[in-house]
Amino acid sequence: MKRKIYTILLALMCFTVGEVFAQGFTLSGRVTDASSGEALIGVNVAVPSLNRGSVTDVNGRYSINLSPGTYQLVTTYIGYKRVTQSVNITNADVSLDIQLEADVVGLDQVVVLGYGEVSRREVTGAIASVRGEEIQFAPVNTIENAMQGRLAGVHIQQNNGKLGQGIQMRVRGSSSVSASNQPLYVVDGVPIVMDDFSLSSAQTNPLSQFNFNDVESIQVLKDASAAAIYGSRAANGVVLITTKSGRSGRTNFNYTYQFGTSEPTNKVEMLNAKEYVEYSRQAAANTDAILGSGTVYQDYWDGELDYMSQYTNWRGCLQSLDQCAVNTNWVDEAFQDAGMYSHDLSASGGNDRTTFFVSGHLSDQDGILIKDRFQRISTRVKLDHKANDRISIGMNISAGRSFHERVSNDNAFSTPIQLIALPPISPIFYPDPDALPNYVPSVEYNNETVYANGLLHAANSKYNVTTMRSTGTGFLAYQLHPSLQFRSEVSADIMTGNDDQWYGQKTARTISAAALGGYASSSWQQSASYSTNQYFNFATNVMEGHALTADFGMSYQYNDYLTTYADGQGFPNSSFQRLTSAATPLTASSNGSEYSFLSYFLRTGYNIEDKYLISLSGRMDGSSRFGSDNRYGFFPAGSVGWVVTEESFAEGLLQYVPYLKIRASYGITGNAGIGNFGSLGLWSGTGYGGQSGINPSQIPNPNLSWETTRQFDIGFDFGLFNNRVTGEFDYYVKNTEDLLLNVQIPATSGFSTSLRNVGEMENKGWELVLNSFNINTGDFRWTTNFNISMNDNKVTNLDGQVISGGAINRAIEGQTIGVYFGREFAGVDPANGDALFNIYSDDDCKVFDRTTTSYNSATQCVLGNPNPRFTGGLGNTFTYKGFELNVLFQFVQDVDLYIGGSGRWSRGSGIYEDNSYRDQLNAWSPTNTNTDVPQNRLFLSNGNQHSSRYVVDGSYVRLKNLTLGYALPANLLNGTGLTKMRLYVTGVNLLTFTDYPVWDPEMNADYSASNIGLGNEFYTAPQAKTITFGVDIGF
Amino acid sequence: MKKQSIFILALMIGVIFTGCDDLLELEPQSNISDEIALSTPDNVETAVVGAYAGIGAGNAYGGRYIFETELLAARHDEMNWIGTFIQPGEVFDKEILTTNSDINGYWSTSYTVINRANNILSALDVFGNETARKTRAEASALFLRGTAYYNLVQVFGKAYNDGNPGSNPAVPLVLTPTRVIDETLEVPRNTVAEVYAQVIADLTAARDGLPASNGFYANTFTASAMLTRVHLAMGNYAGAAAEANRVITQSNYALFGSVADNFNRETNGSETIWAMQVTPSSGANSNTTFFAPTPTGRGDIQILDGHLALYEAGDERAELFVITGRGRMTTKYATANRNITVLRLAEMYLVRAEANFRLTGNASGVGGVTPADDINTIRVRAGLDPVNTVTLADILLERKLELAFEGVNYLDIRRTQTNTTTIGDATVAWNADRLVFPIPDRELIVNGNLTQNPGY
Repeated sequence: MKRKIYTILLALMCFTVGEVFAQGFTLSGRVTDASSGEALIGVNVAVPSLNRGSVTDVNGRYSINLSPGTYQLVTTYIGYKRVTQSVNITNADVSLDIQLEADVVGLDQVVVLGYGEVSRREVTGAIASVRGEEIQFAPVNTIENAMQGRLAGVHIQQNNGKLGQGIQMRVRGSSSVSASNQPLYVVDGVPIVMDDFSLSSAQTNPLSQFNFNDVESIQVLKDASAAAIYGSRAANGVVLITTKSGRSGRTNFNYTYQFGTSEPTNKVEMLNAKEYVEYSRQAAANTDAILGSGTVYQDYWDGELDYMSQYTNWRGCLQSLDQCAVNTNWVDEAFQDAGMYSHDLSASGGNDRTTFFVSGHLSDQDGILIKDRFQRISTRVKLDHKANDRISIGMNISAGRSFHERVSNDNAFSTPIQLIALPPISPIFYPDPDALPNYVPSVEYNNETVYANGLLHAANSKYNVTTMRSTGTGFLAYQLHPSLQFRSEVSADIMTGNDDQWYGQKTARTISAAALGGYASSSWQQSASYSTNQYFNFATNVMEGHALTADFGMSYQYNDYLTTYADGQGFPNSSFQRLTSAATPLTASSNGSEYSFLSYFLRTGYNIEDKYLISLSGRMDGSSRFGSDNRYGFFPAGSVGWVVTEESFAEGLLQYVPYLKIRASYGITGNAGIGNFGSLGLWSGTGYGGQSGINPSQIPNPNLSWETTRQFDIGFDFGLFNNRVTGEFDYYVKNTEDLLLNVQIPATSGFSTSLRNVGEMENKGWELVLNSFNINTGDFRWTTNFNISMNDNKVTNLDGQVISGGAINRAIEGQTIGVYFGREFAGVDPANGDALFNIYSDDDCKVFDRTTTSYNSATQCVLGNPNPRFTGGLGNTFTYKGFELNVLFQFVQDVDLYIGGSGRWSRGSGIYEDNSYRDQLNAWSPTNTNTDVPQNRLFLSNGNQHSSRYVVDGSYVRLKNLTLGYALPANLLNGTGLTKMRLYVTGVNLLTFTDYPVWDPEMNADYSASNIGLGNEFYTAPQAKTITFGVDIGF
Repeated sequence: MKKQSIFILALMIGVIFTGCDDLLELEPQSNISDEIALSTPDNVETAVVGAYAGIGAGNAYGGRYIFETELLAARHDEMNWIGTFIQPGEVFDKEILTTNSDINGYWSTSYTVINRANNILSALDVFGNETARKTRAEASALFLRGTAYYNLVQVFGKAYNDGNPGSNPAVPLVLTPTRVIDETLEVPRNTVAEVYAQVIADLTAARDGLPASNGFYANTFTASAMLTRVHLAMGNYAGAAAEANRVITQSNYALFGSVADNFNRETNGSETIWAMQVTPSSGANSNTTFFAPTPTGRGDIQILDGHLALYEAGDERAELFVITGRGRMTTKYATANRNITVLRLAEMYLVRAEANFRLTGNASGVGGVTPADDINTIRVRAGLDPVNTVTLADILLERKLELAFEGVNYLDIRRTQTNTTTIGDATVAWNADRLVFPIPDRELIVNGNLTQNPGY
């Protein structure tokens, strides 16, 4: 581990520089990019043997005082190859210019591991990385959005196009059924709280206060050897985020402004008023014909049309669309013009002893849905100071506030997308009664729509969530010995949220009868997490070419969660929206909960000549969450690496394969993402008629513990064609046992589930990353990054349990988690338009027996898999002089989605009043018998039940990000005081290629999203397509 | 390494590896443990309140015990489900899927109440020699358990008068609290007769143990009134007459001047024998959700002309409806956050009239009154003229109109073997398989000892 020592020495060097004025001569020069010739700022130029060095200034210049002699000079810079050269100082100043080549392979990049770091050269685990600059200023809502498609083995999905919503992130597939599947987030060494403050069943994103423009790098620890240092919380992978630090040298300011607009990626087509009238009246006639009921249903239906049209002249539709009194396009009503802007200002700099980074961020973004808005203010200060040659201290403080105007859940009648269910003959506003049957809108929203009028709701409600988050870390590093450093970190992560809801008197239909006089609620929540890391980093050369490192210590984290909630009803009028004006206070409650983790860890590495690499790690984790009989767990891991191209016998290979490393790892990690008191038998409070009572709420389980994941990984890193193409390949098998499962138990016990460690799950897959330097002529450069991941998940043992979630998702032994389970739709009987279902004579649905019109007697089968098998991204970057074009495609392939959520109504064969999708016009009729859309029948079920009719292919390829930027040439900026000026335009989600028939294939109904509830459409908002223009100025 | 460094190093290691196990001992702040929950008389009494909260849930008397059975029993020419909630729609069409979550809620919430009651019954020793409090807690638990079992057996098993109740399966009888999860929880279905016997035993013991007055909680007459329904279901008219007569003659209940006074009440009144207490902050009323017109409710249940035609001219009960843009709806649940009346005195007169008629015809019977006397009590209050004699059909019609949409129609059509109708006004026999709820799919999966009802 020479690199390690070197890093430490380099750090030490920085303070010696200021103190030692060697009598001698000056070694100085300029460091430039070998291909562009531009000066490189902040490059480290050092003489390791003297602990002496320099950092290049804004012109790329360095200088070092040296007495006569011969020295090894080492030049390092992030993203560039290290240069080691010999300098001889005799009796004069020496001028030495250094050219650095871009490091395509990145072997010298520092990889953060948690409680330590190594160079990529020495990595033996599976780690995916994103550099901060790749995601900077992406006009998306949160950091996860910005990472989409960029990391192999990491699948990121946003549930819908609402802002600030929960995001599903899966590292190498799902490994849990009932516990969390989200990775552990560690920012600058501190595990951060990912508590979701949302009061509704739709999650919000706890990272949305985080300004991702502060990010220097993101590393995702995927395999056990990388992640096991985080023990019982590492089974779902670990996301290490490192924020930017200052560099010594002049103070650099950077200002970025961008603005833009968003619109939905896709809109659906519903029936217009004329089509609706015809289709639904036909449905009534069909029902009458089937039941032999004369015109009973048709008469009823015409009356219903009168009512739904609010007695406007829907009969005009029988002539032509023009003559419909009302033809509301409810789809358009769900959306708003969505603008956004952001300002970012940062400054960094410092001197030899002290460096700083300061940033501020302000943004305001409208969602595509009506009344969706997200504002964010965030600041960060990072300070590093070397007190003397042994002690350095520092701090990193960030504070942020977000203000979020939320949209209600997908399953709420008030959510904008549910407007599409309303018949197009229904007016938005009540008609002026004097003008009937013509439609002249009044100013009052129509409150007699079939379902609640979401526009009325929007105009008479507010749902504001304010979240403040401050995170502060202080550290002290003490160099006890050149090979041993002690580091102590203490941090606090405090998140406070206010959820403020008000619903005016007119919203009674959407909010509940309680809102007849207006309803409001207010809630405060606070999560405070305190943690400390105390550890040693040790690195030494055991003998020539044998480096030993060890990182060991302890960490402790305590989290305290408090909440207060109150609501009330009966407000004088819409101007009074705070609880203090409520005539009747309803609930007043407060609650608290806490958890703690106490951990000890050790990681050792042994490096023989950069050729043979061995790493062993272990962590002992205790948590208050685990049962008293099972309080501590031990999580060991080991890995080996062999750099084949360092072997002498490989010399002949080098011209074809200049770099090849084979690595393998095995280890155990855990998942402690369960509730805080899952092991205890509990009673909770309740009320009846104004008196308080108690009732049993949880069955005890003193054996409750973490889930255990054993992961094997084998991979190789390679370079081809003179390292113009580099890549990584990994194959892994991840077996999780002792699943934390909410085991279904007979409800006759008085409980429906019990949290137990039962069951096993397996994830197998591979990942391939390719980076290539296609063209690199002085002016024109073209690079490509490609990643693809395949994951197969299988629930191998659930102890006989079948666990349901979502609409028709299940966890079933032998199947992928969350498969759709139900009846197979067999099309339409051409003779009469009946929906048909399949009956099989075996349970596995292999031996087909016959079709049936009886839904209940059809066989239940596995209908599809909501977990994508293939995910990945393809990025291309073209630069020509000052121009840079970035094109990132993201893809998800081989995935099934379920559109039966809203489909049962809007593709429901006209059973209810709901408007239907336009493709339903292809319903069976005596003249259209060759169709798979069953005959439309009012109030009769004909294929509107959950079935494979609604399982569709959800594969897509998306132009995720397109950025075209132009940096003004330096000579134009001369005299302006500016060091940089770049103009750019960015598009997000500009194009989506998919066969998915509804809105957007990146979706999951927010209210039912869970480990099992996957891939469900239920009036789920499409993603946003965003275009922004920006300017980026340095001075 | 200098001595100083070694010292500092030793200190650091010492600090790091000092045991701090107690950092992991944290207690919940808003829940209490099993040990504390039932450790004192006060705690057990709050558990009784918790059990009432259970039976007041939307899945029980807070709604589904009432509106789901009304939908299941309803003739399609008297009632129409126009809602888009699929679960009640299936019940109304008598085409229930085994995965219907309303049915699952009905089942599981009933057993939640039973487990709460069993917990109370297991902890009576803490009362020591405080006999009165002990008896009240015990009888309250038995009342709630018997009531929950009655509501289970009537929908998940065949009617008592359908075939052999001694062999027809009903629901599992669980009479002890659940403390651990093991295979003993996989209880098979007991027979209809066994469950009814348990209901009679629980409610009888409750009747004998409950005080004559008990606030809005069940008292001894509440248990008697509940027993009348059970006796009617079992065809025990003497028992029904005796319990009804006990309520009429021994309690202080009195009919309201107007039948309309029974509904949408914030507090119990003179006619209320038992009502679910609903306030804006506690209790549930999902009858309002579905029966009440918008915007208070969803206005999903239309009452059709076929029902209105049953009322005589001048019947005040025919005015308990409102015509809305989406048809006629009952006003019995029209106001938000009001109590749900489960048992009221008028029902007792109707029970006594029917039981006396079946025992001794139009002659004077239990209580020294004739069936016509009791029917006239109800008729006159409804603004109708008294009658001299009655037929069984008269009594049953009076009962249907007086107690319309109050949760007894399903009991009545099955015990009186009255057919109903479904989609297209097709007839559904009183003992049809589809008039029995399916055992929830999830229960069959987790309990290998359960069997499904015929027809599912």
